[in-house]
Amino acid sequence: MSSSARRNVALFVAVLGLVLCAETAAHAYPQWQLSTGAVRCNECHYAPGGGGLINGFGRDAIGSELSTFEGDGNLLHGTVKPPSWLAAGGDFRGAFVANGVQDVNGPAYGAFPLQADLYARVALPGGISASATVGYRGQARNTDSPIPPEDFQGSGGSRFISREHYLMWQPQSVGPYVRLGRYYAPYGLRFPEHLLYIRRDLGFDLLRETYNLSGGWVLPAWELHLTAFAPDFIRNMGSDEKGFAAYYERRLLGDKLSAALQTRIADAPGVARIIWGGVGRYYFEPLRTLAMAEVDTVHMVFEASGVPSRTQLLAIAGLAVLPYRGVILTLLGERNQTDVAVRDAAWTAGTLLVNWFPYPHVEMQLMGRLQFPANTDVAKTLFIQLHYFL
Amino acid sequence: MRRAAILPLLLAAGCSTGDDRPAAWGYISPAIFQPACATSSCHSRGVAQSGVDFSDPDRGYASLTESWFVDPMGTTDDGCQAWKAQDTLVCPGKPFVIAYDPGQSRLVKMLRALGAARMPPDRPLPEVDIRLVENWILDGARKTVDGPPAPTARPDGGTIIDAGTTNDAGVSDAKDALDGPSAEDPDAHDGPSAATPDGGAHGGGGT
Repeated sequence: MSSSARRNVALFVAVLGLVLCAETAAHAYPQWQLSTGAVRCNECHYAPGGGGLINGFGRDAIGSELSTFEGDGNLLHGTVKPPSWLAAGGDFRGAFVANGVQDVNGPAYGAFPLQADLYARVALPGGISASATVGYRGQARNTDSPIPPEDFQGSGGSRFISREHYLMWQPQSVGPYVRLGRYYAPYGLRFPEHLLYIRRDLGFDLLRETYNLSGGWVLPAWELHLTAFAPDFIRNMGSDEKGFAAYYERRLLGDKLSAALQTRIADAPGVARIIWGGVGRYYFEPLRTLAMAEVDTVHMVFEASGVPSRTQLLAIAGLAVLPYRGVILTLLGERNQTDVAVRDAAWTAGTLLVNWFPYPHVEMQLMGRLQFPANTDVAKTLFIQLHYFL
Repeated sequence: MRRAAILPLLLAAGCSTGDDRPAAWGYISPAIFQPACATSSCHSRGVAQSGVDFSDPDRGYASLTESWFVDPMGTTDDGCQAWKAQDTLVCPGKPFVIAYDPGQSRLVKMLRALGAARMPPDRPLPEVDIRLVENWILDGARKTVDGPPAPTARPDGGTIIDAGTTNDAGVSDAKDALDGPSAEDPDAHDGPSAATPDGGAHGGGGT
């Protein structure tokens, strides 16, 4: 293979790698909590911790209040009315990305489908419901590539994936619930941007859903989520961690302030992680601005003999400004101190997000992100996304 | 709880500029490679892009110290093996890590984007993390602190020369390993690394 052909292959692989690492999943928009009058995630979502399929209230809100121009936020713009026991939806995203990591091949560019997921929820008697998401997952595996010596899972069997599928008992949206299945345990600021350090490095990266048994209470003034989780032993397509997570959030000051305490104890191959953290949000109504912050400390206990335990710290803080209906401007600063005893073992990042919901079912997003790994090259990412949801 | 209470003080003090972390795979895998590389679409167990699986220390170590390629021209005499009971043969190639020689290790070239596409492609590792990986390689790229050096290391510290297989990231093939000695190789007694009479393909049979 000539050197130029080799460079082209390298560039192709780099773009695909970036594309695949940049896929997204459906989550809630934490910028809308408190700022829109909704204080609970499950005011707009069926899931107690938010994310995924939106409910009737959420569809009405996106149709009449959260988009720049009003419209019908119901399924297929209201042209189809499913029976009361069935809720359905879908997310389709396409994106353009430009990424520069001071690579020998220069910046990488790509335009690609980002997400194609369909959702369904069936309401059963007794407050029980069954929910599932089915989607198509991109993959760039090349059969000419080197392959691992064992336990290789054929790529063909991995293309379709159900990020979430669960049974839930929840008689009312306010009150207790029990949930069993595959999903993300409620924890932290649940941004859709999984590349934020508090998502990616705390166990909530793309497709890292675990199998869980959760229970909790969601009330107007507070909510509590307790989750025991385990990996997907069958397909190996999620997190490798097993453990327990807890999240308690309290709303104060007339629902302008929320404060949360959280913990996550996770045993993964090679390391056990004990995480403690806190989340705070305050909505300053005169400026239509939501201030958000999360801090987590991660105590790592290594399995290998002779390796002492270490401590990591992750923090994010930012402002979300909602200057006009359907527009969210979010500025975030992050620090991932992978070892608090080593100053330069760290990334610092700044991210600007511009989300525009011109009409119900349509979202456009522009993201600019700078990452500063200590004493090495800066990573620059420009990301443009078009999102349509059924 | 006391530890949590003093964390802000540690940060306010600017932490330490020294790096007292162990250059051991038992630390490097779970603290650096698993979070940075074993993302679900990249080097997880289910996907293992380019055959590299960093989902746990054992698989990560095997991925770095053994490398397998689909080779239509391969034979079992070359150490090739049938892949999943199909007609395809997979053959051993140049590993990503050459023990004692970070300068010739493809892993380091990728982490530093030296003649290779940078890895991770979305966020370069901090310099101290790359140095820690280099120190681990300089120490023999051992799987355990008191274990033997990586199987790529010859008793004299030289490197095993592979059959010249290219890889999908377009990085150096076996010829690159012959380009010269690495100044960082403490055990390179024999001057320039050179193909030795027994320097054939790495004949590992998988783990």
